[in-house]
Amino acid sequence: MRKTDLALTLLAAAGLSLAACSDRNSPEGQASATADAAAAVSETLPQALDNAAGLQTVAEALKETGIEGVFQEKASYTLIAPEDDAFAKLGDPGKQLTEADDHAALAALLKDHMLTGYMTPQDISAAIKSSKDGKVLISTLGGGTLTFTQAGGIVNVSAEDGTQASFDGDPVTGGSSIAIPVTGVLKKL
Amino acid sequence: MPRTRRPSTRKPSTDKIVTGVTALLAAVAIGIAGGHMASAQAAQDRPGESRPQGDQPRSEQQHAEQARRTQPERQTGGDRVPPHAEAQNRETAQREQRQQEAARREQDRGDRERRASTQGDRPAEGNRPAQQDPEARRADRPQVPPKERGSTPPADPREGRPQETRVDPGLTPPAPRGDVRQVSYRDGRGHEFRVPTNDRVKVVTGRQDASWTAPGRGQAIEGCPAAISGKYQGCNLPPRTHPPEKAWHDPRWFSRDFDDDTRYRYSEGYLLRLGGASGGAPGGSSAVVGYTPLLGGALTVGRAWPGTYRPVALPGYYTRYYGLGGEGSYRYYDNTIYRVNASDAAAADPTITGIAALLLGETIRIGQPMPGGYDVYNVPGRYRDQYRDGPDALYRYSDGYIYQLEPATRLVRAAIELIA
Repeated sequence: MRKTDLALTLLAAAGLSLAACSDRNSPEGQASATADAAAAVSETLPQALDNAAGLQTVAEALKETGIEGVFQEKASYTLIAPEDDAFAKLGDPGKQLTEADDHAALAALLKDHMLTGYMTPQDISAAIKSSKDGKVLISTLGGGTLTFTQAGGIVNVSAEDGTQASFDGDPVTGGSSIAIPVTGVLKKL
Repeated sequence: MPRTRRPSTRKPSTDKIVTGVTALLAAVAIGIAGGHMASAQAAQDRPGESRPQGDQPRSEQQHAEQARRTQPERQTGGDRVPPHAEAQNRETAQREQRQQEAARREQDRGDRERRASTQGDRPAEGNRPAQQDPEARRADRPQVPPKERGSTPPADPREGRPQETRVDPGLTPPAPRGDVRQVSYRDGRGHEFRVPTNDRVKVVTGRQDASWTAPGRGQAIEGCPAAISGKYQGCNLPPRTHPPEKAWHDPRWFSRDFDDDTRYRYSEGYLLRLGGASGGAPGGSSAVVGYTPLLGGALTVGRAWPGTYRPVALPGYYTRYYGLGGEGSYRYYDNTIYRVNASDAAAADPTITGIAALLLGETIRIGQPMPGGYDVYNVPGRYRDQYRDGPDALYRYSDGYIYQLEPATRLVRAAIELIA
């Protein structure tokens, strides 16, 4: 084959490759579409919490208050999820809160444990490490602020009313949201 | 000994045909690639208009206009953007939007064809089934043994069901996407910045196109709700107890705004405002003169909307992002978007069928610093392959938008709508 033919053939191949890069049917576009589709079909966070040990109380609370509905859409939330033991430590006031017919108080408690966006424990830890004063502040959907610090490899979180908790175990993911189990309820009863 | 080239054994006419076809393919391919690059370059050069046409349905526009007449003017401030930079940004945004709309039409056509072939069962927008009554749900739920949590991956509780792909919890940064293009804009000081863009997002850099300001939290409704008048004669509450019988009888449980427990009381799913100069103080009036219905209380799935509703203009983008359906299918109150029965839309008290979204309701403006409380990278998992913090930009998510910030100043440079 003459040199001219070879050059033109190579040009054709290069041009076709460039055209394919902007095509959604390209391998890159298909991989991205697969990731998007995967995110769309996963179970919701309340469903995942229902199946996770030690988080039944908060899973039930999301359903009782109707807040589970927000996890059915594309929006992302991070739930700082008190474990069942944390609710049990509250005693009778905790039972009155979770078993009342009127769930307004329970909804307010949940909103004080919910953050906008998707944050993993690693994200929070990285932010603490790069902060000037070793703490980060995150606004809650209840209108308050949670403060996160780290000591001995454990992330601690405190609310404005002085209640505190620590991260405990792996996060639970569902849909576009994530729940981080914690050892305490971040609202004073 | 010099090498001699073996003479070609192909016929001269075939040789010319191969050469011609190859040249034609090369020309076509170069034309396609060149057109793509020219389009991207042109997006950066020519001025134009940024606001999308017909972004809101006509009825929503009327709805929004009515709400705007009853709301105070939004303040605008911050640095003035040089006219040529603003015009350049508008043209870039307009060109990006045209490309995305073309891509979206193509995708919609594909989706319709797929739906027709699979005959899937998908509820139409606005006809979302109402959430089940909590009592009935408690009785109906099957007893599923909880799976163990721990450092080792737990057994899949959905054994036997078709395998679903889980979203990566973000422990490992995903590989960058191959369909992202870096589109240049200019900020208020004329500095160039780039925003990763593709068909999944729409970038907003104009101040007039972003920064929806949520109305104030839980504006009280005048009067006394029926649930209170039925329980307390004349809507006069009994004397309050000290300390409160339950922690949530302190109004601050529900909002830092209600920090005066002489003026506010909780009862029957409402936060009640007491009247008179001394409010609910000893010797003062205990008559209810206003009320704020509460999420999970008076504003509960399955109940009728309590009291008078003042329409609020949501951004058109929100109806798509939160899947709100048509006009009359949702209501906004106290940083919460509720789904209501669309067939009751004309009624004053439609039934609440679900909770669509909880919002922070922050005022975030292009050209202004990001508010406090966004210290942590919080981009949703499926967009982490496109928006990662780096030396040139930070990204923070809030109420459906991803915001690009300048790292040094934390000034908001762009609001990114997540359209797919």
